[in-house]
Amino acid sequence: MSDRSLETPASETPADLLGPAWDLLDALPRVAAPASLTSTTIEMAAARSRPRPAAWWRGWIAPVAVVATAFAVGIAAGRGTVSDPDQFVFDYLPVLEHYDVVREAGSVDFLMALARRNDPPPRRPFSRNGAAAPPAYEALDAAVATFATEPFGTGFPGEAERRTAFSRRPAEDRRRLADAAVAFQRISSMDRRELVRLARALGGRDGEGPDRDELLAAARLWHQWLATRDPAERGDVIDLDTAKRLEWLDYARARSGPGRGGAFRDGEGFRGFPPPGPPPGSPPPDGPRFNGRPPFDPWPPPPRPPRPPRETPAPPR
Amino acid sequence: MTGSSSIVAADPSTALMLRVRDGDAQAFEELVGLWQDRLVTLFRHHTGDHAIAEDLAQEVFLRVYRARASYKPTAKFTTWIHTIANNVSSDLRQRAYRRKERGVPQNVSASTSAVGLEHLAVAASGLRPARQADRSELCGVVQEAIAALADNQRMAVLLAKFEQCSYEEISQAMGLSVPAVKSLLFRARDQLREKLGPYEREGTR
Repeated sequence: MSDRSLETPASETPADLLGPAWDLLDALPRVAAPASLTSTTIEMAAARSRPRPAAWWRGWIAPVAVVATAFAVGIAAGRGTVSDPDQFVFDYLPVLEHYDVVREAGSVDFLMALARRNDPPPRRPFSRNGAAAPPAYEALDAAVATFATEPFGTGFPGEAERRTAFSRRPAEDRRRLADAAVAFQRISSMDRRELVRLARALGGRDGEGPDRDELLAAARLWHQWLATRDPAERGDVIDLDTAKRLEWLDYARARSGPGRGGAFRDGEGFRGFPPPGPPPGSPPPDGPRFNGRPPFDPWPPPPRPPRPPRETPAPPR
Repeated sequence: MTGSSSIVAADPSTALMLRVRDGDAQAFEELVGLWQDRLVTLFRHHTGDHAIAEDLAQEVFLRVYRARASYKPTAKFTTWIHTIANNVSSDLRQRAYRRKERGVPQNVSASTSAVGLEHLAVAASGLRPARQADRSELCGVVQEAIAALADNQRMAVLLAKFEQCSYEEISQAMGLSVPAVKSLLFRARDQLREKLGPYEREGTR
């Protein structure tokens, strides 16, 4: 009904549409605004257009906004960069594949220092029973082959293929790499860079780096000397820095020299690995002292004085 | 002559507003003087309260002044200020609604006044129209009838009656289509006819 009414010619204007009510609306009066309205309106407009004094909290807006923005950007960047849980493993894949080898070798500086010393190999390096065992260089050779062929980092040609191949590896293999990645992340960033540098040098990827053959020879020699230690305790030596490693090597050489009890092995006169310190017979170190004594006991320990014979009580009568 | 220049020539308010935009304080004063009675009248019959009407008119002028830099004479200044007036009215209605939601008593409009409706019922009972209504009495009855309309119906009727707006101008000011405006006015006519029917028959012209 209403649509039909709206379409009629009589509704050309609102007055036509409203009909008689339009005339009744003339009874509503026209209202005059008070004379003060103009002046108060002008004053209010002028007051609003004036620059407002800075509120105390306005000084905090910019820093808070910057912090909030940085926080949001950080979260977004973090989500973007660690969205793939395997990304870290993938980035350091050549190193993590042979993490034990590079950890054992230590660093380029250590291997170069070792190469300069011209230390001999241990006399009885490998076998507890004296049988000639082949040196366990397989892991080192495999690592060197990987370092020589596999690209480091990301953004290289064939990255997609490597990623695909990595995703298809057995779960056990990926778990092993994940464990290596955890251990790799626990060391300092400087040590991580040293290990990557060492891997590249062992693979011959550093054109201006140290001589690769020297490094390999030093790594093999170091592996032989480590093999003289009980496997469960080699980690203690591997964790030492360059100076301490060389110090330990001096000690190991002294212990395995002629007339010093033969090979440096448990069960062959060796009474356990001594605490780090100077070789026997060397003057006391100029280090910290505790109650006037060196921080560690001399090695080997001095022989105990013979115990007095125990007096057996007389049998009761 | 371009479209905007023809608008400026035809509408003195547009010319004043352009001067306000350019920083002429005297022009703003002239503009306020030119429009304040019209806006106060519009809001007075829309809200039923003279003080609120003055406040709303002032708010319209302040919004005009605040938006002066962005003003472009692509349409009539009349349409622009009517749009602002409708927005101010809508804001007031929303504030009143929120106060009502919070339980704060409102004194904004007589449109919801129960007393007004009772008075209207008595006026429409056919007893009082039996005699000739004087001007003041008729004014009160019409005010009650206007107050009984819905807010958007009332605004459309007032824009049409007091501002002589066409359907198109009302539709632009209220953000509605022309058929929607016609529908509003049609329903307003039916309600006004229901309330003011006896006076229409008596012939109050």
